[in-house]
Amino acid sequence: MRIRLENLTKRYQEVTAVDHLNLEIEDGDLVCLLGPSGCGKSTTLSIIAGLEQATEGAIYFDEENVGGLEAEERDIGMVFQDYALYPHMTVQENMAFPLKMQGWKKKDRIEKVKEAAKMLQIEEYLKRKPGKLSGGQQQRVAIARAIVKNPKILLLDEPLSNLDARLRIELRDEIRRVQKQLGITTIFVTHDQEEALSISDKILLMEKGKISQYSSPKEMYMEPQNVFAAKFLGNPPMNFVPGEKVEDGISLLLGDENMTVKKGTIHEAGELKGSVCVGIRPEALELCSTEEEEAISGVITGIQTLGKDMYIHFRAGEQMLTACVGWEKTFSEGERVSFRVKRLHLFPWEDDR
Amino acid sequence: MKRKWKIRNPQFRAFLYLLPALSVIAVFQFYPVLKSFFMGFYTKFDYLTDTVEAVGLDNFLYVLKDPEFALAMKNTAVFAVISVPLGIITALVFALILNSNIRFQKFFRSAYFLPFVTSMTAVAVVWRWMLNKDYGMVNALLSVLGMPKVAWLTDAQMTIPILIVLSVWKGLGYKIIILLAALQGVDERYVKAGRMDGAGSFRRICYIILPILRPTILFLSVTSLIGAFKIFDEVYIMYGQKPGPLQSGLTIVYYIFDKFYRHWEFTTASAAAFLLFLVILFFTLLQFLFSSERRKS
Repeated sequence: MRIRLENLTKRYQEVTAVDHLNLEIEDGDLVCLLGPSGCGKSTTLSIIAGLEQATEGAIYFDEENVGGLEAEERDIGMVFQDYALYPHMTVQENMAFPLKMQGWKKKDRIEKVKEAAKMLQIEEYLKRKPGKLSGGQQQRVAIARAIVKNPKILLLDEPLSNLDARLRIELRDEIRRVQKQLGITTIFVTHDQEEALSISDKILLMEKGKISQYSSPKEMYMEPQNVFAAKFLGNPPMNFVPGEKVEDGISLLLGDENMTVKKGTIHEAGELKGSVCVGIRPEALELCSTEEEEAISGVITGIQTLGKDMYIHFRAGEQMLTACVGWEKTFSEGERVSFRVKRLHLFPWEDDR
Repeated sequence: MKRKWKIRNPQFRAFLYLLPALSVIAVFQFYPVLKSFFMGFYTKFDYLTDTVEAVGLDNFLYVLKDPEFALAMKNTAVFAVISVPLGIITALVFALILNSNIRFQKFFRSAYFLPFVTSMTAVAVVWRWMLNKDYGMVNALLSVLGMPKVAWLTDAQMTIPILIVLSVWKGLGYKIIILLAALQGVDERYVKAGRMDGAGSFRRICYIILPILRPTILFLSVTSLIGAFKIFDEVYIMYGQKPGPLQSGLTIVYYIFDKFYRHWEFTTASAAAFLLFLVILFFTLLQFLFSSERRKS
């Protein structure tokens, strides 16, 4: 089902949690609501679910305005961060509960529950109480309970936040698989950028109740439309350097020595002139010889080794930058290094960047 | 430096701390319980010198055969079986309403709690006055509505219903507080999950909230059941120290009291008291059984 939000606004006494949100979600898409805590993503989800009322604005499922419908009438499956399985019911009873509420016959309920249990590989726990299951198993049950009634929309509110890292990856792939298989329109709230990048068709990045950027994961990473989006995505975070657009390229203002870059891909967020904010992803810095022209060179101030990569923190002029390199070469602090810039992003200059 | 004298054994030290309270309980609780149990078996004894000449089961047999005791048992059981569920259901309804964030919640909570902190004697005196056939407020109200007077306190049919209403009203506040505390302990997320699963408010209460409240309801049932079997003051005060018209308000404790103070049949009273103890013990064990089974599952 298509979901459309029109000027959705939620105000608490003094705080505006969601600020005139306009959004359209295509049928069968998985959209992540991404943002730091307090950006309004969970509130947006609660309003779509019907658990909270919007102060202003409208919500449409396909062409139907559902503003007047209670949560229990909206035909939505929802998964919560803390599972929220009914403690007094067995797994089977938990999963059958939405069907029971829809008036299914007992025999059909059991059949349908088995089907959903099979899909999420929890058949062996059907007779157990939720308290006897691990967090990952409980969340599988919660997902199964949410999809068992074949809802038109699936909402997930930070479903993986309480799980450990390995399980998180396993379950997020599982969610993606089930979602694709059922072709169900899904909204997934998370503060974890990696999670959002890996499973979404589209990401809605939110900042202070407003849309920062709404695009595919690739576009959001490769072509961030503003400094917030550029900063929020990517690990280690993007480097920012003051710069200036000059005739033959971009001049990076590093302090005592300025440097002009002519080569490399340049992505501009809007029509820009004069002073700009230049963003360089750590992996867009490529190690090169110190003699090469158009290279940023500096002194290593710190080295961090992380799994497949190594992060090099270095000082170029007055700017502190981070680069992401492989393991082939050994570095030491105080050493002078040079980097070629493969891709840079230009943003309007803001004093408080 | 002076060496402090210290008891090394922590068990023994704890026992010493508990000793003052224990001795009070022993003198005023354990001793009377045991003594009355033994007294139930005295068949021939000297009251003044406390010399027992013969023991036997005669007292228990007498009590069990006594039609008055049977009546007392029946009255008490009827009262308990109706007043306990009624009291809990009423309290549950009010607790659910109070829990739904209505206005003046604090005011209502105190208002319902007030009867509980008032002494039963005072309440019974007031009710006696309110239910008076000729001058009572209840009949005055009925006459305003054009209904005939009812002989509340002299009609034998009315006794148990009045006692039930009184006990439900008196216990309401306490039960509401306990249930409200339990309700506020029901995690909001279960309610949310219930809504998303398509359960309206009534079905959420039946299928989600009540099962989660089960231990609290069980606790209230057992404690009120025990309380109900001990009913006495209400009858004694409201019916002018008599067991109601035609003994319609004769309860077990009243029976014991009557035998002990009015007839000086200490041994019969003791035997009856012990039988009451057995009834209460049965319900207490039942609660233990239920709650331990729950913990297992």
